[in-house]
Amino acid sequence: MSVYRVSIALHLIAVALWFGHMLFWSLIAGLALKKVAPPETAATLRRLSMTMGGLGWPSLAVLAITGYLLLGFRGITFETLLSGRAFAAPGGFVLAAKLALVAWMIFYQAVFGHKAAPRAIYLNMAAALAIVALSVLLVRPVLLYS
Amino acid sequence: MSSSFVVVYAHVVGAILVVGYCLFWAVMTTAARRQFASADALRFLRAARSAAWPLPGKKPTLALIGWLLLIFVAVAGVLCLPDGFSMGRLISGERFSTLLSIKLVLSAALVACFPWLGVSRVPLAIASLGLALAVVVTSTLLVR
Repeated sequence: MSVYRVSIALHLIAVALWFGHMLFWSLIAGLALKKVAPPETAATLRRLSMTMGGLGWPSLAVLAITGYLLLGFRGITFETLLSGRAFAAPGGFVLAAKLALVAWMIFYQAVFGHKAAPRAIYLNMAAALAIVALSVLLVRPVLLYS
Repeated sequence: MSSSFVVVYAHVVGAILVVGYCLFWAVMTTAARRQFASADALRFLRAARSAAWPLPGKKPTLALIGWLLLIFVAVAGVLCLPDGFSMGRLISGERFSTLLSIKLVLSAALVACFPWLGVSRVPLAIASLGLALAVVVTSTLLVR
């Protein structure tokens, strides 16, 4: 398997685990487990569901490395990113928006991490969903017009 | 924004949620089986399976949500098949590739594991997560 395919596979595994964990726990499992009766069972279930955390930083590390490699296959380097040439190409605005949202998620991870952040968590999930949309457009720009 | 984009996006987000669902059961099963005796672990896992999502009106359980997510992803997946990639041509073998065959086998294995999530032992829960991730990877490689 080529470096390109391995990078895609690792990028996708990291994003599916991290975003899947974030979205499923926050939007579905957390809400459902809270309502279990009796409350002692609900508390035990919530404690069990929290036994594995800390997916954010390892996922971010994998995403940053594989993301940079994948940009390289498009001819985009640090130099073209810093000079702005990467954003002048067709679809450059999509890449710029995705990287801005990635920067937000890194900021969120560093500032809030696992602390309670009832409003910021929803902004973070919205950013995650927007990143997925922008990634789909980067891979298949034709979808915007078909 | 085109309908094709919406369908592909729905498929991808649905797949991410299915991975989240499998990860949830891998975490819950591992933690419950480690911390409690078999009968207690099973009792807690059954309580989690039947936990109801607080929707107004009919409240779906977590187990039902898992099936609904899986069906949603499958339907969106069929809808985002490219032009000329009809189910008839797929079934006849005309558009079959090794990677597509692998994806279909992995998907079938994941569906077979689904009824046992939350009532199984740890290896099956972890295998389901592995299968969900493998389906995501093969799907992505299929479109490249």
